[in-house]
Amino acid sequence: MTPNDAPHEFLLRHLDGCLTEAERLRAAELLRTDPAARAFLREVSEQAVMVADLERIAAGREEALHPRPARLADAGRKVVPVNSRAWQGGLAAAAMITLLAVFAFQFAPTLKPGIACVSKVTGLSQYFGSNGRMEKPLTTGTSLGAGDTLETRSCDGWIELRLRDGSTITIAGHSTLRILEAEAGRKRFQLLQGTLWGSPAPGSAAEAVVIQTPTLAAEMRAAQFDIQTSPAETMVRVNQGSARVRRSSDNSAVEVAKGHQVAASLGSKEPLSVMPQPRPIDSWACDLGQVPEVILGKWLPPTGKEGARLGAEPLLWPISDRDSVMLYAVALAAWKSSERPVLLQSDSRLRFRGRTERAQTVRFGFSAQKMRGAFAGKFEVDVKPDALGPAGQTWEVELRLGDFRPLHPQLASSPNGLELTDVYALTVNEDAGLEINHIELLSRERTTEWGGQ
Amino acid sequence: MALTEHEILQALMKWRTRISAAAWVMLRDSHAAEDIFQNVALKGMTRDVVFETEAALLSWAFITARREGIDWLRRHQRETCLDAEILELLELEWQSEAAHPAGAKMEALQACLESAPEPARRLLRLRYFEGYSCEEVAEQMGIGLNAIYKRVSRLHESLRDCIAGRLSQTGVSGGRVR
Repeated sequence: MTPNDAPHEFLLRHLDGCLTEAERLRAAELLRTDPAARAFLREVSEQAVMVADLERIAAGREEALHPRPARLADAGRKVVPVNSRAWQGGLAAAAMITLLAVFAFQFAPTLKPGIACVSKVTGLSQYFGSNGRMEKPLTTGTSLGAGDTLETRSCDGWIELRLRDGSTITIAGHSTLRILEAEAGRKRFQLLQGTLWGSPAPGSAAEAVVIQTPTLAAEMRAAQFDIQTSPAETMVRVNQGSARVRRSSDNSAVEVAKGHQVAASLGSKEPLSVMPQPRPIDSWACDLGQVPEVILGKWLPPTGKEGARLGAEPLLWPISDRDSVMLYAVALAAWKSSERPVLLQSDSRLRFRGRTERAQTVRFGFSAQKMRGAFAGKFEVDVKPDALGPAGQTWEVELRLGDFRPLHPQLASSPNGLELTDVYALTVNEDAGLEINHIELLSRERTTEWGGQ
Repeated sequence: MALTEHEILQALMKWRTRISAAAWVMLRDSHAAEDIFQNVALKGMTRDVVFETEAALLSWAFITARREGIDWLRRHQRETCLDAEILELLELEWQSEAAHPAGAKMEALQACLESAPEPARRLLRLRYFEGYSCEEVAEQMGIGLNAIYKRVSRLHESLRDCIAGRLSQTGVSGGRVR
C-alpha cells in the first residue's frame, strides 16, 4: 500500500505502528508536507476522544438506571490500560471535569443517582463502595451514594463533596466519612473520625443535613459548621445557622445557635452544655507530656533530656500517575490540645523541637480553617538538614508562618487570620528517624520577647 | 489582566476535545488522554500559573499535555509513531483553527452516530473506547484487517462530513483565540 493509493488507511496504519521502516519514513514525510493528511489525523484524534466520551456518558446513564452494585466492567471487556481514573470517574468523567462535573451533577439529575458528588480532592484518600470493596482513587466528579465510605489519609488530604442543593461538606487530614441512607428527607453522614466542615448552599436552598459521630448526632439547618471527632469525644461548632445536637449515650438534646459550640464525650454524665465559642488565642504550646491527640506518630521511650518523644510513622502517599511516595510523619491535632481556637497570623512563628537520626530535609506543615469557618487548606515549608544542625542532635527551629507555602491557594493564599487545626512534620522517601518533642505557636510579641530566630 | 479561574476553566472546556486529541494522537489511548487533560486542567486551575490571554493558556496547555504524554509513554515503555516536529505542527494547527463552543462538536458527532449502522458504532467503540487494535477488532468482527482499515477510514471521513454539515446547519461557529 502506498500513501497515494489510500492515504487515510495508510495514516491509520501508521498510528497503529503497523508500517515498515521505509513506510514509516514515507508517512512522516506525508504528515510534514501535506496539511490535508494532518487535518485527517486531527479529525481522527478528535473523533476518537469524543467516541470514548460518548461511551462513558452512555455507561453513566446505565449506572444511573442500575446504580448499585452495577459497574462499568463487563466480563468481556478488555482491560483498559493503567490509567483508569476516567473509568473510576464513571459517568461524571464522561466529558466534563472539575467544576463542570459539579455543574452537571446539579443540572442533570437523570445522570446522577448519587447523594453527593466529589467536587475537589487532593492528597491521599481511599474510597470504599457500598459493597465494602475498595474502589479506585477518588476523582473529581465521582458520584457517591449511600453506603460509600471515604477516608482522607494524609496530612494534606482533603475531599470536598457537593450535595444536590449546593451545600458542601469537606473532610480533611485523617478523617473517615460514611454516607448513610437519607431519612425523612434529610441527608445523613457518619463522621467516624477526624474533622468535617459544612457550608450551606447560598440563599435559602439549603436542606437539613444530619451528621452522626460516635458520640452524637447533629442536625444542621442552613448551618456553616465544623465537627471534630475522635472515637470518644466530639466538638460541634456552629458558625452560621443553627443545629440540634443529640448525645448518643443518653439521648439528651440541645439547640446550638450561631457562634456557639457543644462538646460531648462518651464518658461524661454531665448535661450537654452549649457555650459561646471562646475567643481565640494567638499563642499555643502543645504539651506532649499531656498526651495530646496524635493523628500520626508513635510514642518513643523517654530519654534523660526528653520526657515526651513522638516518632514519625510511615505513610504511603499515592500520587496520580506517579510512583507512590513514602512519608514518615508526625501529626498532632491542635483542637484537642487547646480549649480555645488558635489564631494564626502571618508574622507569628511555629517552633518545633526535635531531632533526626540522619541528615534529611524535614517538611513542616499545618492545616487551618477559616476562623469559625470552613476548611482553608494546608501550608508547608521545607527545611534543609544543614539548617537543622547535625544529625542525632536536638534542634529547635522557628518558622515564620508567612514563609509556609499554601498547598491550596484557591482556599487561602495566606494563613493570616485562619485557625490552626493540626500541625505536622515529615520526611519524604527516607526514614530519617524524625522525632518531635515540642511544638509551639509564638505570637509576634512572644517571638520578639524570646528573641526569635 | 490575567485570566480568572472561571475564564481558565471555560477556555479549557472549549478546547477540551483538541487538547485531549493532542494527547490521544501520541498515546492512542482515549482514557489516558482523558487523564492527561484532567491533569492539565487541574494544573491550570490550581498551580501558581498566570495566563494573560487565552492564547497563552492554550499554548501552555498543549505543551503541558505533550509533556504529560511523553511521561506517560516513558512510564508505560511505549513510543509514539509521530516525531516532535509533526506533533508541534498538529498542535499549532489545532490552536490556529477556530474552536466550536464546548460540547457542540460532540453533540453533532452523537447525532451522526445515531444514524450510523450498529456495526459501525461497534467498530468505533471497540477501537476507541475498549482500546482494541485494528487487528483485534478484525478478529472480533470476523473481517479481514485490510477491510477494517478501509471501514475505519471511511467511517472517519463520513463522520467528518456529517459533523461539519450538522454544525453548519445549527449555525454553530467557532471562536477565535484571543
